[in-house]
Amino acid sequence: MALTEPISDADGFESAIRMESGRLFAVAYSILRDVQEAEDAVQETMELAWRSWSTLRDPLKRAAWLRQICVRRALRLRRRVLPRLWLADRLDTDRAAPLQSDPDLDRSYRRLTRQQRAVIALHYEYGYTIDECAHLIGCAPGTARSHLARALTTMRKDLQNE
Amino acid sequence: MNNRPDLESRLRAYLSSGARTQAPSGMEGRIAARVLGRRYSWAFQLLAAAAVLVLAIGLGVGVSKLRQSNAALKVSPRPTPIVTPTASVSPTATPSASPTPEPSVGPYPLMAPTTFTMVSVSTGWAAGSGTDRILRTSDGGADWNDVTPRGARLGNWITFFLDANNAWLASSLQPGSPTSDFSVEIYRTSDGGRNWSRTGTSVAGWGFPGAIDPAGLKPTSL
Repeated sequence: MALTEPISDADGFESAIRMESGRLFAVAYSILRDVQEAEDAVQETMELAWRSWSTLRDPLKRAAWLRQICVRRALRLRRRVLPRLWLADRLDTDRAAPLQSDPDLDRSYRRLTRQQRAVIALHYEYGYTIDECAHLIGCAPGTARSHLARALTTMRKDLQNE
Repeated sequence: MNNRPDLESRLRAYLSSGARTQAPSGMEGRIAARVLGRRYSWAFQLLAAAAVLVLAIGLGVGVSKLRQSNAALKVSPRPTPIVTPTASVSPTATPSASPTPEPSVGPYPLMAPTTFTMVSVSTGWAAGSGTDRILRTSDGGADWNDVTPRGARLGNWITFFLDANNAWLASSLQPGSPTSDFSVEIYRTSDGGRNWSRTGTSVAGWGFPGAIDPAGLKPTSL
């Protein structure tokens, strides 16, 4: 379900949070592979979106706009050790973090840079082309292509060694 | 190269399982509270700033009115102590609404007529026991400058104004003061009150200065 309703006030924005934050969380989690960091990325996305909420005239573009913000926030998110510790007792992380069916691949994936993970996730999971991935990440298409190639090479090496 | 399809299929399965990861419970509510709560906090801060501004303006208006009410006589601040002869007359440029001191207004009540002396058309002095102030005008009474010697003890004051520049002050402690010191201190200025010097101390057994003899310039006890 896309954001198609004209939303311009706090109530509308709150409903947008409830509609979109799940999908944004999935994108952020595919890049960050951390539940709490993914929530932080979604929150920062919504904070940025709220500042410019009224400037986006076309509600049809809001979903794509939010996804782009979320991807870039996930790439730039700072690791916050102390808040994560404080939040640890509040979040149901055991329920949120799934068991990995492919632990070797998971280990190798986590060793990649965030940019490499973003290209892989957007390309293989969400079906974006390399050029679209570059646009979402905010880099040149050649750079995105390089991220993808290096990521695959790294993962192949890791998986061959294990 | 033979493991490339395997890697991509494994990646797709891995990412697909990751995409099904549930968001933490209550995430939407927390985010809404944080994001929109910050909006309200901004509004609250704006309101608080406006309140502080209104309070500051009100305070300024109040202080201004208080100053106006206390400025029946526009006098300069009291000069520096006489021991450091830096006291100077700070003329007030603005003419007073009531050119002569009013007995019931401000810190100069009930001046005895004898302590008001005009030594010329333009220059005059005014002082009085119980007021602890000596005033001087050089423009016929339009403006009055506070030329009080700050170091003078508060109490009974007797003054003698010889001319535009020379004046004397004899002071003792206020009657009823919890002390047995009844000495009388005499101060003199020769430059119109800019600087005062203590010219002497008279030890009196009992009493207060009642007058200054212009010839001897000594206080006599009543």
